[in-house]
Amino acid sequence: MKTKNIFLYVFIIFTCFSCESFLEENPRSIISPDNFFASENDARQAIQGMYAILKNNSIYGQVGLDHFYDNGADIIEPNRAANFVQPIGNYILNEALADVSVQKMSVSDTWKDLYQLVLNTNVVIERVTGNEDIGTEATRTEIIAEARFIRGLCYWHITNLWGDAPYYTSVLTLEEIGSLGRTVESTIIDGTLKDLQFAQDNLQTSYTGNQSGRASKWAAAIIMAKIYMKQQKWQDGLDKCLEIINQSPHKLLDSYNDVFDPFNEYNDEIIWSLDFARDITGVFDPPFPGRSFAGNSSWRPSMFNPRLRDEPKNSDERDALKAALSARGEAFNGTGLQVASKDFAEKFPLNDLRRELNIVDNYLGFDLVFPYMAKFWNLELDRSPRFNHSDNRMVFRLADVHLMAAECENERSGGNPNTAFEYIRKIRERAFNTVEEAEELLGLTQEQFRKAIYDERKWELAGEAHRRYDLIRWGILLDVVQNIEYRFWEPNVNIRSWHVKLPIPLQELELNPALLKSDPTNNGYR
Amino acid sequence: MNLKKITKDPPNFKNFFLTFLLGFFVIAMTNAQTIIGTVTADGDPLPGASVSVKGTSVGVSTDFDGKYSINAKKGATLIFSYVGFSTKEMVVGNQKTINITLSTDNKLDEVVVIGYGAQRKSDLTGSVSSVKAEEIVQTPVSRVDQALQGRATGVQVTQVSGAPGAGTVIRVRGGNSITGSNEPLWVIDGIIVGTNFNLNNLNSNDIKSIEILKDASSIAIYGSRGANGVVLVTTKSGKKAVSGKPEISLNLFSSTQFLPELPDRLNQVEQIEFTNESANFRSAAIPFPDDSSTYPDNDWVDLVLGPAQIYNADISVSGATDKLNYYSSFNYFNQEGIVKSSGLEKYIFRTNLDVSITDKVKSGFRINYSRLEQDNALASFSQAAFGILRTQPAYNDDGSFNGFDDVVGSPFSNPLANMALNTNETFTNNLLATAYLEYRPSDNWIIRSTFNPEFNNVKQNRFSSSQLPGNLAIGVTDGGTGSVRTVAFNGWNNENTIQYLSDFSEDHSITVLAGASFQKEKTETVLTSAAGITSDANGFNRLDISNPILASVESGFTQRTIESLFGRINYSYKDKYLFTLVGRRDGSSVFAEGNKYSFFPSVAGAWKVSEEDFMKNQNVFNDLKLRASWGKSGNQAIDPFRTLPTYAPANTTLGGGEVPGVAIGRPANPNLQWETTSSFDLAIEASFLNGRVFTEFNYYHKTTDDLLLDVAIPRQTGFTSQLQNLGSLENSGWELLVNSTNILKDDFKWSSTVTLSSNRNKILDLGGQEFIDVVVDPIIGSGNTRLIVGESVPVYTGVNYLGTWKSQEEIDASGLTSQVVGGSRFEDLNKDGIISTEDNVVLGSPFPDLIFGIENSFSYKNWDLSFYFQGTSGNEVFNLLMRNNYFNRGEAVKFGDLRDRWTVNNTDSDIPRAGADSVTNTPPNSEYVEDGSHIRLKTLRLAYNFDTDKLGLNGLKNATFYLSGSNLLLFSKTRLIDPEGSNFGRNGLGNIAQGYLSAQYPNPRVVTLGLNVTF
Repeated sequence: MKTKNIFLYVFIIFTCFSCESFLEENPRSIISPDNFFASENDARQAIQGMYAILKNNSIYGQVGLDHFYDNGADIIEPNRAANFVQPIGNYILNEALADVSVQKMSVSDTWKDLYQLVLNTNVVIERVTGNEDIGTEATRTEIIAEARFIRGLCYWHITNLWGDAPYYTSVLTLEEIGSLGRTVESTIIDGTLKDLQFAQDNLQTSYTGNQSGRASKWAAAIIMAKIYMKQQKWQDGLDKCLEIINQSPHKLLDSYNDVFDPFNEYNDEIIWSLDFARDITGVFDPPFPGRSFAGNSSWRPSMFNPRLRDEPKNSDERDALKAALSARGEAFNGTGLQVASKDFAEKFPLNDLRRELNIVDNYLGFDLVFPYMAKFWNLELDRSPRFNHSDNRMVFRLADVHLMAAECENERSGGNPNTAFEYIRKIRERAFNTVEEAEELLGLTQEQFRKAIYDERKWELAGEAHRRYDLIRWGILLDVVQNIEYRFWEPNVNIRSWHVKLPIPLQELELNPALLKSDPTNNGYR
Repeated sequence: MNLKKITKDPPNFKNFFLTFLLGFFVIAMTNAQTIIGTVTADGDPLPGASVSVKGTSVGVSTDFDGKYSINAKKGATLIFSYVGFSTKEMVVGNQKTINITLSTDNKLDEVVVIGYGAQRKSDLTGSVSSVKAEEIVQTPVSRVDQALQGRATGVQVTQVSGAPGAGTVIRVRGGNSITGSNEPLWVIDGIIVGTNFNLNNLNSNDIKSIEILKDASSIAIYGSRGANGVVLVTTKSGKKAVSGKPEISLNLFSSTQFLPELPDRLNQVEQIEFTNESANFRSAAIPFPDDSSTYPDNDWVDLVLGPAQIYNADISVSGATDKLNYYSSFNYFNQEGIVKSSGLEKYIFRTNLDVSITDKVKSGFRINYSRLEQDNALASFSQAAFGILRTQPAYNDDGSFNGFDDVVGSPFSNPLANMALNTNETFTNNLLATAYLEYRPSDNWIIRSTFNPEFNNVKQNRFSSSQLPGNLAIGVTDGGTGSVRTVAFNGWNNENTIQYLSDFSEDHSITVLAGASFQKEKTETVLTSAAGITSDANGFNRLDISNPILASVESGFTQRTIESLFGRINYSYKDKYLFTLVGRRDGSSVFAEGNKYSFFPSVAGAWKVSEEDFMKNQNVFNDLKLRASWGKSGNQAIDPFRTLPTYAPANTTLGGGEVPGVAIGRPANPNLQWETTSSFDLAIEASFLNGRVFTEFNYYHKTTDDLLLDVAIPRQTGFTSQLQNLGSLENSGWELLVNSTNILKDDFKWSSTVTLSSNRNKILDLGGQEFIDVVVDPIIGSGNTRLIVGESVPVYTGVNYLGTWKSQEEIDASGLTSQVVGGSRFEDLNKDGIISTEDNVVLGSPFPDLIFGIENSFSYKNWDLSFYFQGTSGNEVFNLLMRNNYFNRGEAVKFGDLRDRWTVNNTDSDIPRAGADSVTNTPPNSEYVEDGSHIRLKTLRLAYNFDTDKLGLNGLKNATFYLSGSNLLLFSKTRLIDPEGSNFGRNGLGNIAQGYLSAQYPNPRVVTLGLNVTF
């Protein structure tokens, strides 16, 4: 009897092991990609998440891409030692430095985040394609177009920075992605052009109101035009520019200064501007995790805003300057790490009305130590406090397209420099008091006009992250950098022929040796 | 329940093993006569004493009256034992009653608690360290784990923080895991509470003993969770007094905590000189152009830290009657921290109750309720000592708090304002209980079921005032922030065991245990935070009075379930040869299908050499035992849901408003499985000189496979790392324990305990890679920690620091760019003209060659004196402050060494010149690594025991008055003084961040006055 009881007992406790469900995971608090794409809302959230990554420090937040597009050229310098812009600003970049992550905006961070976007776009495209839970066919096409735009944008940056690079456009396992070698740049660009054309065909012509900040079809078009120009397909480039000029709702503003009004950030001239707002706490990948001072990612104005402790020239007047600023509700509370370079400040034509926003060496009557680029300033304390700026990150604007059209016209076979001038007439006219001054570029030879465009793009688009791309595209980066004087570092001494591309970071080569297969020199860095 | 599934399970080794166990219950049925009797000591009945039949594993415990009843054959020998008493043996004749009186002491006869049972130490085949109540109460501690430091061999206990309620980091025979928890499993009165149980919930006076299971044989019964060792805590139960009256015990103490010795830093004048020199070198504006006397000289350490008090009161009532045994206690504990604004108050209630319902059925409860009220520090020692320049004013001219750092030109977080205006407090309610029902159908069988619920509710309130100086600036509208976080944990654990004990014949005896266990844990969290709270009137209690745009809400849910089958067979032949076979099969919810189950076996044997005939004639050894064990155990190191891919919130803005977004959150890995540790243990135990010296020596070797590592993966995947099972490591070492009674006279006794441990840790494989870099502090930068095959986990890495550059010629010859005379000179090992991680070398390891503890106790008449030294030797520490406080930025507080830095007038110095770092980035280097060897006078205690008879107080049993000090002396060479205060922690990288110092909350010196009285 007792034995039987014991057996019964043993039987009961041991049969509980048939309760398989006891060990099943019930992930109530996590979102899985497997069950996520169940509505249009879900898919839109996945697109919006990509915008969050685009605003990371390594890309369009702070001065992420500016490192590679503006520093180490002839427009911007730091005013003092700053280790995050030093690798390119002073051309000391090497594979090891490319590995180091400083404030999440170094070479390795940009590499990682651009590929993180590629991964996300591929998943979205696969999960949305033919998924009838998600809106109508038209809705799905638009969502896929947004994803393909971002993928095209990322691969465009990747080829600009590294040339040949890992390239994939479908959903792969992490092991598969991690072992990809470098695909030649031209193949990637072919795919990128397809992505961008699809985006241009299917995105809306503009996004306004609470959708402001999304890239439109014209953002896709301008990148395509830039690619054609780099390929020296001048006619294709011109055609694309004219599509934008003639068909898009964008217009050149009458005043250069109005373009940069921090409180009119979606003006007609701006083709694409990434939205930033103050007091946003949900930053996806904060630059300083857990550091309360970090605020949101829109630190870019802080980089251009002066730092009071550096100014004014006569330090005895610091309190007076502080008081004068304070009376206007302003403060010099930036870091002042991105200022106009010595060469740029010295050469900027004095009669050019654009100088006012590009070279500020006196403010409120106080002489300043450094020449600041006020076009990206926002000194207003109330609406744009320190490290919590509401300022958007402008990516593309129509003036650039006009300059591009002029360049294409000048370069294409059968082109005419005087026709080319007409594309930039309005830009010139709003930059000068008189038409005579504006027409100084009229009646030039093709070669003279080419050189004029080199400078015109510098004065018009300073600090808008085009300069190094342009200098490299024109093949004159070394020449330009070696022949000017710098205030702080010695990039003119340090620059080498291979500095037109970035190295793939050292750790990447160690973890994926396939990256060295096609180019054992790693873009010339080894 | 789906009964059909049983048959689907394919037969395997584990099932055979369990069937084998069950077989015993069927076969084994014997009869023997019943012996009854009473065990007494010092005239009192001795409840809980062990009575067993020699050469078998048959044993019972005496009841509350010291009575026992046991089945034994005629001619068998009964063994009577109890902790702290010498064991007695008695041969069974014709008598039915055997009464025994126990006396004196012998180490090997102690009964120690093991997983799911208890054994005499002499019968152990495994390695178990035991710490008894008398040792725990020697020095008042706020947490029971603090009492273990240096007490048990092979157990490294590190007091990483002196904050009230801060825990220690415990490593049993080294760390087996790199990313997973290395903390031992805590089991309290049989309840598996896991590795993260908040030990503040326990009253150290309630504890009867602590056992630490170390080798495979003893931990295998805990299967997948045993690999890091198991700490068993047993609480007190009532003792029956001759008078029949309840015993009331009262413990009172009061302590004062004093600041320890402080690190050497530049004084105000020296610092100003340094900061200016640095700015001058960098062509920056001179921060202090005027005479130093015109700037403040604030000692921020004194403003933020100061001596603090601890008060403790503890009362217990216990006793026993025929059918009932009870122990009830209440503890009040109140500690202020030496960092002002921090503190801890505890209220702990415990009731332990055992009831005999019938002769065969017994039931009982253990209920522990605690409430903790914790003030978390609003200022930190590191900020006070190393973050704020002495020239920084604390107040503005108008008396308001200063909030701007003119030197750096940015807002400054004023700790005095934070302490005055902010709140950060944590309240915890914990209920830990067990209820059991035990049925003994016959003397051979014990069937027991327990149900153990645990409820833990934590609420953390934080408030940061809108009146802080930084928040008063124009444009700040998000000032005044608050948050409330609640964590509700509830879990239960059901354990069912069935035990059979028998001796088949005179020479053979066997104990078989089989059990099944189920455990489920749920954690639900809610975090609400708000900003833009303009008034301090309601604080965190009205988060709704805030800026709605800035409010945020998060909630979370995790769940974990484990089901287990386990068994153990103990077999003894002639009481000379002992064998143990253990197995446990665990299933866990956190792994993906196909990886959920794993089986953990172990086998052990022991040989009591001193029982052999050939040893009978020698008189050197009183006892001599050899033992060996081998087995496997696991570490369930991953969190729930880690095998599943996720989307993480990635909100953004469009048109100026926040919109929800998601992005792929982490690289999932469905192939994750348990880390498995195989260990081998060899030991010798001996007592000699009539039992006055006991010594135990252990050698062990452990290998852990399938290490869970956050492995760097190519960043072209969009991720930097992924959790993978990869590689293996080993720990090997030895432990020596010596207990000796040096002098034993009527009124003078001197006894000593020495514990020595040494563990060597080595990485065997990292999945084919030679090394993996990990980043211990992302702010400090990479390259300071590397996992290297053939080295310990971790080793400190960095470049060699070669002093300063003495001339431009030296620099030019080196081929390095961006160098300056007087600046740091680092070794370009591979001569490529770049200082990078490729020039890294191994700079040291945090593993001591030796961990030691030496205690001496003296008693003379009514006086007791004991002192206890503890420390390590041969370990290095990595000073994380060196970068900022030695090499970099002139605006940071500098270590005193920099007085002798390179200057134009001191060009021989190898300490870098001020500001030189602006030319080159300072990589982690050999100058950061310091000798971590140290000796600490952990406790010193002087006690006086009153002659209660002479005091003439009726009913007073004993009274002791004592004065004790802890942490009074420390001999160490590190710049931060205390090598224990480190980032070494329990989670994530903290697991391996042993020896990384960054001026944590310092361990205070404590002086205590106390009184213990028993009625």
